[in-house]
Order: sequence, then structure tokens, then C-alpha cells
Amino acid sequence: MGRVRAARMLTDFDSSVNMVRAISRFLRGKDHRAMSMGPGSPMLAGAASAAPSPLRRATFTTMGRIQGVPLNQARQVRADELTEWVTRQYGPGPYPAVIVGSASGAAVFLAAALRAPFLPQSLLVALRDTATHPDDPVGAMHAVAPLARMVAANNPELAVYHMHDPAQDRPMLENMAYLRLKRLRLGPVYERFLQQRLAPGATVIQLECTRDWRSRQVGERTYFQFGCLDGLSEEEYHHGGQRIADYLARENSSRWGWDPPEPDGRRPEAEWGFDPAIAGDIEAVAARNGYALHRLTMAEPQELSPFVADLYRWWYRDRGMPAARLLAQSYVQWDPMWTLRLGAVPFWLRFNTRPSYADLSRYLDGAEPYGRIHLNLFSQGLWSPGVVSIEQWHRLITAHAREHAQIIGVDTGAYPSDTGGTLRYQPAFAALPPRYPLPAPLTMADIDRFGWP
Amino acid sequence: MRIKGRVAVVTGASSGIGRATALAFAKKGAAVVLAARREEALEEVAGQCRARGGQALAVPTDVTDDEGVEELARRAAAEFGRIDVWINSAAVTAFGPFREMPLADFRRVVDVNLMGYVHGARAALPYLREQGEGVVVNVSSIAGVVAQPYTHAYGMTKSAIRMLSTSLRQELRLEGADGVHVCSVLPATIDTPLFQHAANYTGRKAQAMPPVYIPESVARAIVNLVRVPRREIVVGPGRGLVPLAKTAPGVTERIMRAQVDRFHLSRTETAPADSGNLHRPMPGTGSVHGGWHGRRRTAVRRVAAAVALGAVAAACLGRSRR
Repeated sequence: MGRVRAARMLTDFDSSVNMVRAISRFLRGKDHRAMSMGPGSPMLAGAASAAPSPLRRATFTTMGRIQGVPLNQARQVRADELTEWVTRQYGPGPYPAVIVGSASGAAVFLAAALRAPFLPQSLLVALRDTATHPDDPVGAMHAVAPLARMVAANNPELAVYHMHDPAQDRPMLENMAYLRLKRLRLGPVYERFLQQRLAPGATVIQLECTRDWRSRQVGERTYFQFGCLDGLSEEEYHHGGQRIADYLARENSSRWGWDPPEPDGRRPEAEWGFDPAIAGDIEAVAARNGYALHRLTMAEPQELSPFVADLYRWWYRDRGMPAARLLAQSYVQWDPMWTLRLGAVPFWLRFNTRPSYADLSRYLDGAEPYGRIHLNLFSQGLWSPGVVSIEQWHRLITAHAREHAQIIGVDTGAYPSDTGGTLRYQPAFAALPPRYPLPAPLTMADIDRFGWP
Repeated sequence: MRIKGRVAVVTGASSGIGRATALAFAKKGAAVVLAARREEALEEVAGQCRARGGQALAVPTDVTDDEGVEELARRAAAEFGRIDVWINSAAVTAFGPFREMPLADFRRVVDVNLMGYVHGARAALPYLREQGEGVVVNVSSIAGVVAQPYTHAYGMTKSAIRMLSTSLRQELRLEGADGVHVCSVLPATIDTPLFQHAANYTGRKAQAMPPVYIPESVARAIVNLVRVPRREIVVGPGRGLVPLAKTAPGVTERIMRAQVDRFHLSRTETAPADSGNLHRPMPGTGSVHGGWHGRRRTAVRRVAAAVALGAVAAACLGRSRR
């Protein structure tokens, strides 16, 4: 009962869930097609993206409704059932290393290289909510707070963040409320996993994203976070501006601006941030079992991307491969297996917005030029503030590729409302030549040799 | 008791069952004394009563104030010379997990729903006894027999109201006041604004749990109860739940638990923690209906029942001819 319930409660487009799915499937020799939820099919993707714009928008909204857990089931949320879902995705091991902590797409490729599972600190459970208006953050906070408090009360090992972002998540927010559940204790399920499924002398990599965000406490271990890491700055979320006014006008909102509740502190960012409350437990388990503990700290979730890209490049060259192809993958449309089979250097973009554009641009400016650059972009269903156009992305990669630059797996006419994008990215990766056998895993000593960030 | 020319005091007359009952008595030619907290709403109801041919007097009253209720009785008697019928109908409710419900709200529900009725009965009975006849109608609820989760205070008070009615009935008989009757009415889910006005700490919007019936049915039942007093009547669907609760309490508990979780509290609409109309009345002039489509739902059920009966009758007829 718990298994089915946990799988039903977790949100399929969550970054942590997709990390677990992609890595666990990779460890079983499988790819991450369609976010591990269905078939990768250009034909189905084409049909999905061919619908008229309002229908595509409605599809995103409907997906939100489907993904949301009915409100009467909120009391059944149990942190240990969710973490059991995580650990059940992996085989018996023994694994030479494990990554525990913050979500980061770059860490997917690090984990794949090490053949290491990932145990997330944060998971997303979305509640079905048709009553609150995306542009009324105070109303949303008050409306969801009783249920968020209940989830926190039922799970003393969790901090519950009600994350409300009417910019990037707008289509979803029309039908759901995001509860990001952050573990404050390792808990018996993760402890058992670390004890039983790691090789003797294995390394526990504690991935810590120190990114925080303004939030407001609405109950014991219960917080409301307005906005999140995307195309808007934290300042704009809280104090508005012309971009937001324009955006709301474009969305035909009845509001002219947002009036979020007054924050009462800075806390770990709901989706990506690491809460150090769990660190003591990780350290204790590592010490008890004779594992090495390696702390990997980053200020932003995508900060790891250049390091992982350079690591892969170094690794390929070490194997005598050309390492001249960059495959940039965004949000959760990643595929570690095809990245390795193509001999491609992965560069993870947190999203399709300006900060990610700036990161890729900065990396390409500083990196040894790539011959071929391929870019795939996630679609969130609307032109939220800061979304970078296809033309800009194309100009960026064209300017940096010596031979060829291409946006792949994206219906450029439908972007950023490319409903079929999820079904299209993996076949697009798989269609690229050439193919290489999967390499033997990297070891911690290899990375020591390359140099940690 | 013939209704025409009688004097009926109705508490909770600003909305829902109380308002529908006041209008029903006015239509039958009774003089009605309307009591509730909202003067604006009472004046509107008084106007509607007069338009139906009855006399009406609005007396803004908070039923938790015993002196205020005594004054209500005095005003009624002073205006119309007597009191024949006293209908205790004022009610509030609160949804919430037991640990989340503020004690002040819990107490307020008990004060309004239970002490309000006690105050009403204490104010009315001296007049009825002196006259040697009269009827006190206490509006209880099926929720007073068949318990449900998240409305502890409401269920407790509705159950206690039945006890109050029974106890008073026994006492009146012992004292020889045979012409004075105390009756209980147990409505099922009725299409009233009670759910919108409720205090709510569940995080989920409270809604009328189907099947929903119209308040006019309850009003009609109360009028008939005054005409021919009975100890207790159940109005609306769910009549079957009352005997079921006695014969199969475990099954009934499970049914109600699931029903409330699935249908009484929304599974898609969140709701902020709010004390509703417990401590201050809702603004506006009130209404009989709550917008839960009780009339349409009732009509659909009746048509469906008629069609089903017709089909059964036709089938029986067909068999007998063969």
C-alpha cells in the first residue's frame, strides 16, 4: 500500500524524482526517455505539439491537476514511505559511492560516472488546489498553510516548504500547490540503505547547495516561499517591477502585481537548497560504517555544471576519445546513458531562462571550443519572465561551435509551450552519431586526480 | 394546532432553515418574531413575511445572551399578546481536526447550538405553560445521531439537543403540562449557507455533503410538526442512517467517515483557517439557500425515483399479463 501511495504522491516532473529515476535506470542499463514515464516518440511528440496554443497551455494545466494529490490524501504523506520509494529504485549494490543531499542536474552525470546512486534531501509532493489564484500569494499561503502544517506535524523529520511561483510554474499553480519536503534527519530508510548497499570503504558525497531564499514561517517546520530560482530575481518577486507588470498583462491576470507576505528570514531554497540539519546524521552513519565523507559545496545548483563538463572532457580524452561534442541538457530532460554512449560532454542548464543562458555563455567563453554543440530545452508552458528565445539560444551555440550547432528535440515553433518536448528529447539524443561503449566507472581517485571544485 | 393566527418565534431566522421556516409560518398566516444577530437580514425577512400575508417583528438577538433571549420572549408577547410556537433553529458549525480547533471556537459552537436552545426553552416555556398549550421545536440534525469526523462540537450539540428535548418532554408530562410539546427535527444535509459560514481549520473547503435537500422541506416538516406534534422526525435523505446507526454502528461509522472525507470537505479546493461566523455575523442580508443546488438535485432524484418506480411497475404489469 505504501509503495503505490508514495509513487502516486511524488510529482513526476520534480528535479529530485527525475534524478533518482535517471540514475537508477542508468545503473540498470536503461535511458531516461520521457522522464522515465513513457515512450520516447517523435511521432507522439509531434502530435502533442501540433495542437493549437490554447490547447497546449491547457495540457500543461491539466498535467498539473493530474499530478496533484487530492487534498484528502495529504494526511497520508509519510516521509519514510517517500524515501522508501527512492531506495527501492536502486539495486542491491554494493555501490562504490553515493551522493546525498541537494538536487542538481550536473550531479546526475557525476553520479553516472561514479555509478553512484543519489539520495535526495528534498522531494516534491503537490496538492490538487483549484481554489487559490496564482497571483495571490498571501491568499495561497493562508489557504494551503493548514494542510502544510498537518504534513509537518505528521512527519517530525521534515521541513515543509509551500513554494509558490506564479512566474515559471503558473500553468501548474492553476491546479496545484507545491509542497517541497526537506528531510532534517537521515531517517531509518536512508540509514539502512547506506549501511547495506555501499561497498566497504565507499565514499559518501554530501552535495550541499547553499542557496537560500526569503521565506516566512507559517507553523512548526512549515514555511512559505514566494518565487524560486528562475528568470526573475528574488528582489523582483518581492518588490515587483515592469517585467512583472508586463507579464501579468500578457497573462490577462486580474492583478497588476504581486503582494507577497512579509518574509521573516532566509532559509534553504525549497527545491535546491541544502538544510545542514541532516549533516550530523550523514556524518555519523559514514563514521559508523567506515565510509569516507566528501563534502561538495556549491552556491547555486548549476554551479557544478562546468566542473562536470570539464571532468567528462578530461575523462573522454583519457580514454582516447575526441571529446569535441557538447550536449547541453535542461531541467530534467537529461539522459546520462545517451550522454555516455555518444561520448558527449554534458552541460546541465537549470532552466531555459537568462541565468542558465548566462552560465552556458560564460562556460563556452572560457572553455576550449567544441566542434559540435547540441542543446535541448525544457518547456514549461508559457513565456514566463526571463525565458530566452530559441533564436538567442541558437545564436549562442552557433557562435561557439567550430563545426556545427543545433537545437535538438525541440519544436522550435511551439517552444516554450512544446507539449511534446518530454517525448522528444531522448530520441533526439539517440539519433546522434557516433556510438561508444559504456565506459568503466570513474573512481574517487580519478576525480581526485582531476581535481574537485 | 392550527397555524393561522398563531405566534411563532424563530431563532436563526436570518438564513437557512430558520429563514425558510419563518417564511413558511408567515405564509400560513402566523405572526412571526424573527431573531438572529443581523438586523439588516432580519428586516429583509420581516418584509418577505409581510409580503406573504403574515405579521412580522424583527428582534436582533444573540442566542448566547440569556437576557437577550428573555427580552426576545418579552417583546414577542408584548407585541402579539402570546407565544404559541418557539423554534430553536440558530446554529453554527466548525470543521477541523480536534487538535487544530481553537477552544474558543469549540466553546462558541456549544454556546450557540446548545446554550442558545437552553436559553430559548427557558424563555418560551413559562409562556406556553401559562397558556396551557404550545410547541417548542428544536432543530437538531442527523449528525446528532450519526457522528462524523471533524465536526465534534456540532455533533455533540446536536446530540445534546435531542436529549434536551426528551428530558423537557418528560418533565412537562410529569408536571401535567400535557398541551405543551417539545419536538426535535433531524434534518439531513440541507442547501443552506451553513457550510460557507462555518469555521474551518481542515485546510479544505467545506461543502454540503450529498444528497442535498432544500430547506423548504424542513420548513414544511416543522409546520406539520406544530400542527400535529411528534417527538422526533427526520427530514431528508439519510433516514436510513438513523436506524442503521443503532443496528450496525461500525458500518455507519465507516460510511460517514468516508463520506465526510470524500464529499463534505473538498478534495480540490483549499481553504484558509478561519473562524467563519462564529464570533461575528456574516455581512449582508442572508439567504435561505446556500447555492448547493438542493432544488435541482431534489428534482433530479424525484424524477429518477419516479422513472425507476414506473419501470418496476411496467415490468410487474408485463409479467402479470403473461
